[in-house]
Amino acid sequence: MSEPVLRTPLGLRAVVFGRRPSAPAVRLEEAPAAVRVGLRASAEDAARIGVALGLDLPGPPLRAVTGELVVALRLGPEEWLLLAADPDPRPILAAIAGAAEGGHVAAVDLGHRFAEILVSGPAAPEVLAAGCPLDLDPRFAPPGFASRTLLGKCEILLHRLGENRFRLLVNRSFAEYCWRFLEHAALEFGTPAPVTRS
Amino acid sequence: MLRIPCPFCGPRAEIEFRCGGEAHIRRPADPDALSDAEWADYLFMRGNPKGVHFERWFHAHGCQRWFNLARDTVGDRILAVYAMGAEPPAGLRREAEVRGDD
Repeated sequence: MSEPVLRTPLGLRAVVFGRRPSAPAVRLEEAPAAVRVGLRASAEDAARIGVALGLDLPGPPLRAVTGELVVALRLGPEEWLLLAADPDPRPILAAIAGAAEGGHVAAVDLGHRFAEILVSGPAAPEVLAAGCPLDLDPRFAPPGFASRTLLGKCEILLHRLGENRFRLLVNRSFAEYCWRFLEHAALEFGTPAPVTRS
Repeated sequence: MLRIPCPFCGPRAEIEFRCGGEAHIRRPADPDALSDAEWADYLFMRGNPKGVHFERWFHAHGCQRWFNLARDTVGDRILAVYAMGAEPPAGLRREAEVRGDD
């Protein structure tokens, strides 16, 4: 019997760009599989679900609300994306189902929909600016900012983890396009060097 | 490129949006009672004002919500943003009527 194998869309590839190998300007890497749950609910229902997940929902617009196990990105007035490192979504879905009793709520496991690309390094904002129409100035998009937007011709979900660290969630069929777009933009900051991952 | 103030996301680039055409067009209550010409008028005929224009926009690559927007078609200036189902701001509506805009 063969076991099912969970492959991420980009095979966990990673690459750095820079003029000096010791101090790369940009690092691109695919993140491993994780829980991603799309949540649609009213603000009141979201508050109850937040209690069950240890999150202070609904939270401010276009910001991440960070809990101990789960991060919730508020993407719309009644829309959140829940992220967690553990690849099994069932505990989260069960917690939502318990808290949403009687409410009008949709929670969908989107774990296999996305490829997750991490863009980091001093030139990361400039690499993204090559194809993203957002104002990436920290005054407009400080760390914790999260929104759906565009990169080149494909839709992405942008989550700013730190001043120079970004998480991109892209539909898996667009993952290759998105990766190559980032690689092309990063060439400006040096030659690519593959990274061996531990 | 317009910079469109989305009610939820704030000012964003036009390429993130889809324009849904003219706003405030009501489906006739009793379509069977209409002549073909009147039905065609409802389906196809739209205003093309030089001045205030009320239109629907969808933030497709953002919060994925619809909203209404009043735009001056002369300079592409955005005059107001208001919720779906709401009436346009009274001042702008009067201005549009005085000028004969739709």
